[in-house]
Amino acid sequence: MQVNLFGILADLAGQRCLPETPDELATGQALREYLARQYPQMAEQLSRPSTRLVLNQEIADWQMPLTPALDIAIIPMVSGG
Amino acid sequence: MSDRCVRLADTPFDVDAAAAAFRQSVPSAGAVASFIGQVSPESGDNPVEALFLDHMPEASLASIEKIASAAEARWPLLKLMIIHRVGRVETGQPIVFVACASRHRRESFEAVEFVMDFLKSDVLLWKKEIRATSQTWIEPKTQDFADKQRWETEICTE
Repeated sequence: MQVNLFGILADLAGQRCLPETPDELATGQALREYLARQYPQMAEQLSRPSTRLVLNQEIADWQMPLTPALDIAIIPMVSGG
Repeated sequence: MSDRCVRLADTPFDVDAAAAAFRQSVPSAGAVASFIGQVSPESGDNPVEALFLDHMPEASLASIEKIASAAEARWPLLKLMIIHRVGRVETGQPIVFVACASRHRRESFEAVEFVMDFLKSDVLLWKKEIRATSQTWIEPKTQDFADKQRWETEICTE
């Protein structure tokens, strides 16, 4: 599956898109734990309550099931204006 | 719902032209209030050279639309405009323009403040300060959350 990153998460990973994330990751939480292992530089950000899972452009619960067909993103705390 | 214009701009926009066009488009309004946020270099020996605004094209715009809807539900606005920059924004350039038109001044003043307070901490954008020797992702300040809470409402921008 493909996972898109935004803001500081993209900087920490060194890439905006993680195209070869294993399809076997069953839930958002499993994805979060996998990414924290694969990219330890993101672990602290991934553990924050303000870091959110986004599925098909909508904020989703970390326990939601994942499928490769979903548009999957992880976003850090927002800041506009 | 009032007449509304909400957009993300990935290139510099003419804020004076936007303000003039907005005012001229609502001749029935008794009041027009607006706010321009622009990139400040700040003081010190490592000044801000630019901001970078990361965004999710569909979701970021939708989150701004929800803030606009909340303002329209709260005040009897005749027109509302929000233009928010994304991408790299140089020092001195506008980053956000908010304008509200209404019959009376209070509604416009308050609606502009309301929109800005929620744009600071609820919109799906990510802001990075670019300085000569450093780059820092910016998070909302405690004051930004306090500013939003004074309206005693929540907007689900998600």
